[in-house]
Amino acid sequence: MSRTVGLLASFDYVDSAVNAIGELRAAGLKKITAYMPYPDHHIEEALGYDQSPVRVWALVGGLLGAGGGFALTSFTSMDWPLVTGGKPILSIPAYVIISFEMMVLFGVLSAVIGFFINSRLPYIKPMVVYDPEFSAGKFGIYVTVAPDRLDQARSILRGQDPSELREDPAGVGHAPAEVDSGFGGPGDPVGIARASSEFDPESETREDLVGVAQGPSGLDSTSERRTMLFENLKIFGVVIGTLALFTLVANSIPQVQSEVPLALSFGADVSADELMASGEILYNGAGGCLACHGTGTRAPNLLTDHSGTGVIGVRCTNRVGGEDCKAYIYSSMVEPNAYVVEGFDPIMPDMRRSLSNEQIWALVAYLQSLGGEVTVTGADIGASDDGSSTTATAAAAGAPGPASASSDPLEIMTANGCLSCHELDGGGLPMGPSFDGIGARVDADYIRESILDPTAGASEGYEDMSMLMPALFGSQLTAGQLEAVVQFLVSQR
Amino acid sequence: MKQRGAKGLRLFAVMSLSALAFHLFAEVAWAQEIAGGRTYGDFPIVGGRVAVWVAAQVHLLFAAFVLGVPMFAVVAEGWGMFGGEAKYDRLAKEFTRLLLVAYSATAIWGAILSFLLITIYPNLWIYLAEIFEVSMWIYVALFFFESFTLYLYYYGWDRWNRGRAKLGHLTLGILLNVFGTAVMLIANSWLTYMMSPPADVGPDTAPGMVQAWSAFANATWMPINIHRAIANVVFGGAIVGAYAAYRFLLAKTDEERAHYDWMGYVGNLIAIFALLVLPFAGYYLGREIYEYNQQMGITMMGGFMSWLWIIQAFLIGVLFLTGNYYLWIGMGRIPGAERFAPYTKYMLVVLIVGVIVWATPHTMIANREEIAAMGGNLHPFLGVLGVMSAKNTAVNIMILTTFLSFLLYWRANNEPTVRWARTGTIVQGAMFVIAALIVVFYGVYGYFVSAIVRIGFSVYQVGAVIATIVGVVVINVFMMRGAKSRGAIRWGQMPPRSQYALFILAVTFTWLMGLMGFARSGIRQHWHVWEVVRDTSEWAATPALGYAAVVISACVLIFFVLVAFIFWLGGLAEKPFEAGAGADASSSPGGPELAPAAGD
Repeated sequence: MSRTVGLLASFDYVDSAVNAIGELRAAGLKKITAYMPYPDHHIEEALGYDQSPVRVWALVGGLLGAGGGFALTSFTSMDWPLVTGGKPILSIPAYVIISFEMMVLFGVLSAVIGFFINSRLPYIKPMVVYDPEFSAGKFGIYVTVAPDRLDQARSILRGQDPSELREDPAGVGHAPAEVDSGFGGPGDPVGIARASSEFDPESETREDLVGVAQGPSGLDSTSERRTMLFENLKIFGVVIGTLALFTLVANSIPQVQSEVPLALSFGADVSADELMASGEILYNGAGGCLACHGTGTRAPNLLTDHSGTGVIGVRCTNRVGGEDCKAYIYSSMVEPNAYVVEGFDPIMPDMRRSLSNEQIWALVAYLQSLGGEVTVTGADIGASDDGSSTTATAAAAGAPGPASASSDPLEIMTANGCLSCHELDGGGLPMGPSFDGIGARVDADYIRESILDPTAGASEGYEDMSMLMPALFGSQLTAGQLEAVVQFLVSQR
Repeated sequence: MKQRGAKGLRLFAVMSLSALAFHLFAEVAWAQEIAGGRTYGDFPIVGGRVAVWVAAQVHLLFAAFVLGVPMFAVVAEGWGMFGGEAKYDRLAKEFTRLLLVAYSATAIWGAILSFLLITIYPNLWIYLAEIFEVSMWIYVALFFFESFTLYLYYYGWDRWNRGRAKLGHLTLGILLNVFGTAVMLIANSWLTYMMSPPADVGPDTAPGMVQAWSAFANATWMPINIHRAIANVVFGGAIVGAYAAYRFLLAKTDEERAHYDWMGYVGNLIAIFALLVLPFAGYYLGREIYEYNQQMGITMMGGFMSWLWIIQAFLIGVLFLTGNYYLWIGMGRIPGAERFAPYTKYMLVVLIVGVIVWATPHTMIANREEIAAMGGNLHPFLGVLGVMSAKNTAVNIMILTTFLSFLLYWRANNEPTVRWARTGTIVQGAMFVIAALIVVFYGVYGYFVSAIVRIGFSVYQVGAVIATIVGVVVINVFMMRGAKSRGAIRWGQMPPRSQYALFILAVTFTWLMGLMGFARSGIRQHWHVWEVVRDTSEWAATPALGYAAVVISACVLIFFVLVAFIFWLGGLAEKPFEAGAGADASSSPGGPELAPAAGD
């Protein structure tokens, strides 16, 4: 790794910069980087630039695109041959449009990529030597030289009357929009600092490296406002661009929505096909089964063979001795820890927490149908409906607690457990005042108040028991339901 | 004075409205029930769910900002006070000035959220209020105290700036953080209850029968608290970085540029350092979700949300790459940093490979046709890369690489003078190599053991990385004592693209928060309260990621438009920048660093 020193000269005029480059190159100093506020071909010529290689990129891209277009159309025609109007399968004229479009597309893309690569963008390396004024009117020449040729280079640059001449001891300066002579540049070995970091005495013509161009005296208020507006727009563009990118990426992946399990209601004569169809929808969607059983890593994959025992409709008959397929699958869903398949953890929840009895049986029918015979009937659904499926009754309407849409007072009282403590028509328990004949003992206002606030005016003999009655029916019952219950009780004389 | 009074009056009005909302919501909703009872309300055009979603998300973003910024405002003030560097005090005050308006915005969006919930989800409100009524009252009280502590903290800055008074002022700042954190803890209990109600609470349990403390300190409460506290610091740092970038780009003098360059550096440093810890807090939260309910955990990681983690990996990749990019560009203003420049390309390659591995899909739910198309449960090629062994390895290597970037930045302009400098550097290098080997070894070994053993390996990997970070920092602190400077840091000499990187960081952090909020809320699926209160509204189905992304982007845009307004106000409120008031562009050796490169 050679030791080099850098010199940075700043010029007011392009001619000075061009002359300096010419003299430096003539002296054999060829590691030159030029900074320009705008593209200037004189500097490019001085640096010895040849024609832009981007045109080659465009040509190659275009040819590849055209060739690819022909190849694609030919391949698809041969892979899926369709005779159209008696023409040959490989009908070249029809491919011209696609090939032309592909040529334009790939030519443009290739030119853009070539532009970035040849411009060495994006520029990731840190900038050691740069002056913002090179974007605001001045021309910069940065040359790296061996220490023994430093005086020669300095002399050449001074000869063109630079507004500033600075020594960079490290000799590694780079700029983002670099134009170099083709011999040096960012890829070159990095030099090692050898001297002090003092500025060259010549640099006394400038106070600082940064900021003068945008100093308070440099711009009038109108251009200042314009600059600020432009800067704000750029920032807004960055924010919008970033958001658009993220939104685009999120929309380009598979879109999976978590569905709500549809409520099912089957009659006694429900057919196997009906059950199966409902079960399949549940299994692949809102039932959430695929999260574990679809991957086969957390739970056995029910759709494919497991350890040579077949798909679930086949293997269910042999899983547990004494239990047929239907009973085994049903048990696996309502008592999942009873039959954990070897090699898997007991992670399956009791499906009654999230699915109704009808939904569970529909799933059983669907799983049976995968390689086996569906034996689920409407009678199974009725026989197993013990109300333990919480979703079938409770919390069904987004309302807290045991909500019921019924307006029948007896149904409301049953659903809310009133008869657990009050007797009615020979049923219920005598923990609270009996409902039999209650209309003859108290009026509607008293009953209403007792339901809403059980501790207010407890019946004689039941003072202690009144504490057991929850004060939550005011929020669980609708006003209509409350009134139906009150009127029903008033009518019990 | 008049301005202050008006601002105070406005905030008081907002707070009063919020408090009123908390007290009245039950009656309003109850009145609806009595009146014939609609279960859900509606909102024009976008629908009720999106209205509440946007209000909650924007409120949360502002809340995160007003919780995160005071944390390092106090640290910066303390640093300035005990370290004797006035610029830290000025930095802390500038942070706090942003807080005042942001705090009002937080309260306004809180009130909007409350009213929308009351009108659109009245029954849920009744349910939650019955369980959490006491905590809601405490919340309002704390909010009140927090507001006035903030006023005292900001307006008392110049008055109480010496001796014991300054110490008292610092105490106010600490108190502000205490109140703010307490407010966050309470709000977290409400939302985590919806995710993880106690196991003995079911659909039949009346809300009045739910024990308040068990509902409050539910299974995911503490993990969320920890995760949010760290995330707030990250977010606050990123937003401060964006503010500094904005001011940098519009600066008119070198002094301004130097000051805001330094501020952006500090904000970014805090954000990136806190970010390095965040994945560990995330793992803790994820583990607790699995512990609470396997089904919920699986829904989150492998169910319909599995693709969400690919998007998250993409965003984290953007964060790592942009954060490192900013550090690498920043080395351009440090004399001596050029000797590390050649290494950046290798670090870039490592980061890109890490991101690719991390973003590889693995356990995707698939139907019969998709399984058949793949030829098995896992993709034949991606199935190997996408497993946790590979992903853990990738993320740990990425963290190590980012830390290495920072270490190079730290050491750039310092030349150690201690006799054992060479040995210390070799030890540091060895620690990096050993940590990387441990990470890779357990990553590869993980393919040959069962899942339960493999999960345990992540502890060793994380332990190696954390031990290396701590060890290397300790060595470096001692090694840099009395170090020679290679020249003053040229604060302000940063190209504009570095500042746009800070904007991208802030937008990405904010979007990521929105995405994670969607994940946290979405795993409840069609339940308002998991397996307790079912969502029977027309919006019960949890939307797909594409739809969510549009809403998240809208939230982020609203937030940034408002934040831009706040930044603009911040500029209006300050005096014209005085020469020399900012960081000195050619200050003492080592420059005005927060900690590293200070030559100490």
